[in-house]
Amino acid sequence: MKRSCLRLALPLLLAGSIPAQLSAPRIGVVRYANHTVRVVYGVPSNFVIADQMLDSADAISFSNSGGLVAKDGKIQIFASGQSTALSEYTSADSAPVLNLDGELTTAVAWLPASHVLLHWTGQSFAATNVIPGVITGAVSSLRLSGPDKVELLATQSGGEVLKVSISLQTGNPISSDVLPGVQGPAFLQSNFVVFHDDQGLEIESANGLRHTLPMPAADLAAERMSNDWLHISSASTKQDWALHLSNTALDLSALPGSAR
Amino acid sequence: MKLLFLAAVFCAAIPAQTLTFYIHDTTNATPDQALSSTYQFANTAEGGSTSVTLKATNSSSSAVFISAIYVGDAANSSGANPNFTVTGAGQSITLAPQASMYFKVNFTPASMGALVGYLQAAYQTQQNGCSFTSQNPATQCPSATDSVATLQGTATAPQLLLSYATSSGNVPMQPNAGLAVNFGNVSTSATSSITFTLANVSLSAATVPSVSLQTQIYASSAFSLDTSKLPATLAAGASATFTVTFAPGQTGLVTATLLVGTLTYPIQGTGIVLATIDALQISYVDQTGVRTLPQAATPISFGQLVAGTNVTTVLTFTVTNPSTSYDAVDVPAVTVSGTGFSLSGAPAGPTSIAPGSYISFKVTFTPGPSGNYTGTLAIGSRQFSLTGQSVASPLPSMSFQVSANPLVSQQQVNVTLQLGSASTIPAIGQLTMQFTPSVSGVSDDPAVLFLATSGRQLQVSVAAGAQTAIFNNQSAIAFQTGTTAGTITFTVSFPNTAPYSQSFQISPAQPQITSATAMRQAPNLVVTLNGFDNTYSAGKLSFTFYDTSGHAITPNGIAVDATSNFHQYFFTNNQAGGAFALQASFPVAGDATQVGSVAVTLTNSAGTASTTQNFQ
Repeated sequence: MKRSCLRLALPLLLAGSIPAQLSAPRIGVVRYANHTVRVVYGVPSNFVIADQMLDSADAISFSNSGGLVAKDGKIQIFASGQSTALSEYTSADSAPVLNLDGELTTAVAWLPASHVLLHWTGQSFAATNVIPGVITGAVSSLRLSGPDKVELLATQSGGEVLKVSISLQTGNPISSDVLPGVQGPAFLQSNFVVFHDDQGLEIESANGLRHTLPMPAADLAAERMSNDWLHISSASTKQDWALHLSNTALDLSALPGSAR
Repeated sequence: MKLLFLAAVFCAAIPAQTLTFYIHDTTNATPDQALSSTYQFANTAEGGSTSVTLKATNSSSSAVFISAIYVGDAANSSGANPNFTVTGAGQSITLAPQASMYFKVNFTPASMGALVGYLQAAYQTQQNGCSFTSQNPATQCPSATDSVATLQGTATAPQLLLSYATSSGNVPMQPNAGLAVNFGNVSTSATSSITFTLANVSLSAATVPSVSLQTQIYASSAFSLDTSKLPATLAAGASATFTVTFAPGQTGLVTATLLVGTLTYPIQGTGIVLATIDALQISYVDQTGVRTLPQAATPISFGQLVAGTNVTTVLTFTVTNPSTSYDAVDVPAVTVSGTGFSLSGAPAGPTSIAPGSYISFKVTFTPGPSGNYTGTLAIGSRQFSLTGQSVASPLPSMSFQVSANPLVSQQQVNVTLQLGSASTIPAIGQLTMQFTPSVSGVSDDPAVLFLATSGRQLQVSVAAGAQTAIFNNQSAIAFQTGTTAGTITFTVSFPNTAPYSQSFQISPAQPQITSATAMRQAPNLVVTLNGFDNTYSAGKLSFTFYDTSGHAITPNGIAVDATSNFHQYFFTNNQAGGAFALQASFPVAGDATQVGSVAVTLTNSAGTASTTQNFQ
């Protein structure tokens, strides 16, 4: 029965009406140490760094749908392919933590100085005040984990990482758990936690399994390039990498430098 | 000037015995002996040399700055004495208290008989915080000149006699004579040679002294010397000859000095015009702009170049008929012969140069393999020898090694520049990579680059003693191979070294699908493929859909020919090489959720790639 339904549908495919749309494969968007922002094309281990997209940004997070950009005290949201911001939020925070890992409504930002969680409703930015003291340590990564819930990873003074869930409705904590064996700064990517230890770059899945990738540098920072790609950088070695990480992909490649 | 300085020296009061002098046995067989007020050299033949090594010790409790030790021609005189020299004495040397220095005094008689010289030392003593280098009289250190010893020696008859051949027989020569040996008037197209004879008139074998020509520095010499027939020693009563040739390339008087050991003999000759072509004034300018008037006796040097560097030496010649000439000068031809030398810009065939006019041309030396190169420039009957040298690179042989060989597309690979042996010198060079696609109609792949610079050039260095070049302290330099079949060529260029290149092939390969997704986006099924085709020839696609139970849905294998799509993508404003993202959308009239997966094949000229994706 099911097959017969499809037989009715599939003949449409035989009419030659299948357009094969071709384009340069887009990896994502990278912000280099010199703060320039560039689009990256290619396939793993083969990247082409395109011309400058933004001349400067203090922080970025891009998904396949768009991007969050912090620059000069403003947080802007862009739809993919658009050069004009959909909206912007003025903040005095000098070091906001951004994340956009899917549709634009997944956009969320942590403003550490003002203790504000910012998210994009689809029409505007909404700010949620978080009671000071609820989030301790330095937040290195966050994401929208439900319609009204945000998960944050915060590095404590001893290096351990606390995973805190906050309600966007109230700003109150929902849960707070130490991630065992995880050293900060840590980053959330898909169903994984990414961090660095003496072994290298650790990729820990939700079931606790770890995969280790050799990584010479220790002072790592991460920014999201797209849904499945993270930009990993080291200020000390002046190196950049692109980590392709999803439920079906795990690949680490060096990213061409910014000397263009 | 020196006299003025010494006069000033005498004005200052210096305590006696600041410096003490000793006779030093260089074999250390006997202890140093104090130098007495008179030193007697052994009898020495005129033209010969006898030496004594002396030690000067600072006997004072203050530092002493010795400005000069010399032999004067009279007591308290700094006038040069031709029969004595001081060698090995460091000028402007500071001796700490009780420190010593060694030097040699040589008795080199230029004439026979009893000869006298006066050994003197000029110095300053540091006292009361004065400064050796001060120009201020108030802070200058007191200075003095000590008479060290009177030197005596007797010059005996010379062992070797020099003479030269003339049409009327051999003429004995006196050293340091005022009258020069004259080669006479010689056409600028001709040469004149004189054979000199060195005869040992003693009863024992004698060492043949060095024979050389002293000419004006930084200028071409009209004289050349051939000492190939001179032996190292002459037996008693034996003789040997050498030849000096006068070959003027310019008109006018030319002088030089013939040096035989320590003895000097002036020589001269005059370049004149006999034929009209002799009047031509010939000069050349090198690449730095220095102008030289060549003399035919001295080869025109094109210098030393490193083999294989593609560096050449170009000299620009100008041949002028002086405005004082009465007639035009006919030059039958200008030619250059000799491997490595070439002529350009010269008039073809015979040419006539009017008075006051000139012609110019270039002669280029392009070095081949290492070795010496000679040639001849002929301007009619005016001939000049050409020389050049090609030398091997100072760096050892080089080779590139890649961490993955053979190279394939979509790789990040390390390249290392390996030297055949440890470098004896430090060097900084440019490493470049060039990519030549083998795909017709494709000129480049932007993904082929060095990761560190996002470019195709970077600076590498080689440390002395190292066997690899480094960039950012790393010998392994990472690069991307791109997604286009072709050839990557690495070239490294160091100064004074021939560029070294090595190529690596990337062969055409079947398409690679690096990632794929299958999505239900009602009413469509959307299949996306990311990958690359390094042949740029992909086009044939096949999609086979399966239901959620894994049964193929009829019809099996929906063929899609996307050749034109791929061609347009690859060859129109290509920004990603052979990398592509393909999206195929299949409208479905029925329940799309019943479609479970899709198997896709993609074919290019080298093969077929496939992937199976479950719908999400």
